[in-house]
Amino acid sequence: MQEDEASMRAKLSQWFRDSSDAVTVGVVGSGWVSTHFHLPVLSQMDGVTLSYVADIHENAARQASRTYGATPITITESDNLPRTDVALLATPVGARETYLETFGDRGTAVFSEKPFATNTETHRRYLELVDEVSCNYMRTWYSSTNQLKNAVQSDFFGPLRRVELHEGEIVGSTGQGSDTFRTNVDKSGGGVLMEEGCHLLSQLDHIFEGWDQTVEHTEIKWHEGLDVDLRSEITIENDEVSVPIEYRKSMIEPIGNRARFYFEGATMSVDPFEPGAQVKLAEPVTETARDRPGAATTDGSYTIDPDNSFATEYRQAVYLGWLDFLDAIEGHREADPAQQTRLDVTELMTDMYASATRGREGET
Amino acid sequence: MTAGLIGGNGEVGTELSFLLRQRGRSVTPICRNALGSAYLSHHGFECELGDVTDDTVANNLLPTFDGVVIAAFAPPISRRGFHPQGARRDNEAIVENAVRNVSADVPVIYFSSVIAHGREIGKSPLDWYYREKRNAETVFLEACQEHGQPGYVLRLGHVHGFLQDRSRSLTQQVQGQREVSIPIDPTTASNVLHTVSLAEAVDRCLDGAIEPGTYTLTNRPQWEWSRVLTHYADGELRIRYEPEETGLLSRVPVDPDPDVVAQAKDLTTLVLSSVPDSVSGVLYNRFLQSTAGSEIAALDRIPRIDLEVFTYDQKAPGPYLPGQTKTDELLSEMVDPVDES
Repeated sequence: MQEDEASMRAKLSQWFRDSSDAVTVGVVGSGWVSTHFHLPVLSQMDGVTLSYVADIHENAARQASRTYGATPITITESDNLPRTDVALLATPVGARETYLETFGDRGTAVFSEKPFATNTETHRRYLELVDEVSCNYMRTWYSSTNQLKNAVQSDFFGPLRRVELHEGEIVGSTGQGSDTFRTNVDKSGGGVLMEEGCHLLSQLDHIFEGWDQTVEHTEIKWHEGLDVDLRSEITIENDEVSVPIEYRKSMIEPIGNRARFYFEGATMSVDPFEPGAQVKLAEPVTETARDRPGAATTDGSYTIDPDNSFATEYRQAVYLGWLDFLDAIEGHREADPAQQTRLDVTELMTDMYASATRGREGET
Repeated sequence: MTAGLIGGNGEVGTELSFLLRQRGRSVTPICRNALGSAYLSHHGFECELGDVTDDTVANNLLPTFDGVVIAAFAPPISRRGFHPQGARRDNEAIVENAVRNVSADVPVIYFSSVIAHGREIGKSPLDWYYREKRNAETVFLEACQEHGQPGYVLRLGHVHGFLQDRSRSLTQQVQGQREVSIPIDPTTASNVLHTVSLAEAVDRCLDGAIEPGTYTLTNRPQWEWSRVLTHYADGELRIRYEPEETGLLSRVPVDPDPDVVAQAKDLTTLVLSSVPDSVSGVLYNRFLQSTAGSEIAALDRIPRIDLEVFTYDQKAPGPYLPGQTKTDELLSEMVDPVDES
């Protein structure tokens, strides 16, 4: 979406309300993200009709479809799914290809869960299968993310010197049973980077849209074949400036959540996990001061959110993602599938795994 | 002697694993999947993977242990959705399978909650958590009697500790403050249980130093809420008892209900239009004074701490676990068990 988000959104909502042809949406995969986010959001959107909810487990499909008047479908083959205008693909990332082939053949637009693919080669191959596609990197719709983007693009605080992106807490109770797909690397694609770290990378990709990115160095700790702790140094650059990024993602170290941007004129920090987090401004940190523990003070904070354009709640972010995608497939704006699915994010993850200095068979 | 800890990767289970190990007890956390075991494995624990709601899994895992602690609990809302009946089945299966599959005379400890005291603690018996805990206690004790196993039901207070979210949250709210207000009398018993006291209690039960039975477990002596808050403060902390939040100077409630305000305004205007202007003028000035008071109150409010557990304003009744060491004594001897590992 372009500038003046709120009025563009209002126009689109009105268009959907006035339109005599509802957009039909089929949901493939009735797991947690579908039942807690997509289905409640889609059911509230004008001009959208939920056609079916499909899952390989019959009870799951039936339970999920109950409230929404959608047809429950037990998946046997992807060809058996009814035709719709749009399909939500909320299966494990390792179980996407046959659906993409089917929907691509039909000309069905696809809104996929993240990550879109497990590596760059697969991502590019998937893009060949479908014409209209997007991916639910919902944090790119967060108010906090877009405030940081505005700060970077505006150059208001001077040149950007350095960025720290940290996210981590003890894994604790997973809420997942012993048969969870998340411990199956073929289905999940990986551990903490593939499941959650891609969100943080999508925020990076969004804030530095159009910049080149290079993974310099990565270290990974493994547990039972899954990455559980990751440190990576990335360089983001354009024609004028090169910025080092320190990226940390962990499920075994309680490092906390923070995105910290060191500008020449100020230090900005925010919790990247929370859509409505306040962006805190503090004095700039000098080269020597940066190494002191707690170098950037965060005394004094205020929110820079001019017109309430972006999400401050999780479902608002999901809603904005859908609105943007429907806007594109209705032909109201140009869309680049590679950008919509964040190919850059998949490339970053692929490069991080490749540059890791410890082998997968090493234990923590 | 090794204790098996079902639900070892939960918040309480994780911290208990570290503390028991620090006390010299061999502990095997039992987790449902490899993800859940990542942190514990990283810190040197040999975890077992398996879902104890499956009797076959319980039969494979549990007979080798010299004691079993059940810290696991299935909530009604999870990634599977809203399934209170499924949660009850799981909670019953956990306790039944645990008791059925341990070796003879092996102590089994079930973590219940002070909430199980219901009305005696100020909790409605309609509350789902109260009913689940009471049901699980009943199933557990019946299974222990049937199989002749020494069973301990520990009704835990509100657990605080190094890895507990509620402790982290209170620390963030309190640190850096010199004064806070709370909606409960600070001398009220908090029913807080620090994990150091929990670890000691579990150790003593596993050693057979306590008679099997049902016990309430909180800090010894009970911490009042003032003690809890000062535990997390980084300096002197003044705690004000404010049943309703007001400002320092104006004693006018902040954040008045906007609907009530709007209705009051309409009614007031209607009434005032029927009295002489000399009278309504005075009343209008009083209104301006009150409005100024609300706005000032909103400016100078002191930080307010409002916890859901404040609604349980009664001291949890006994019987209490006998022979507890004073919690402050245990804390003074404490070395961070995570750093130590």
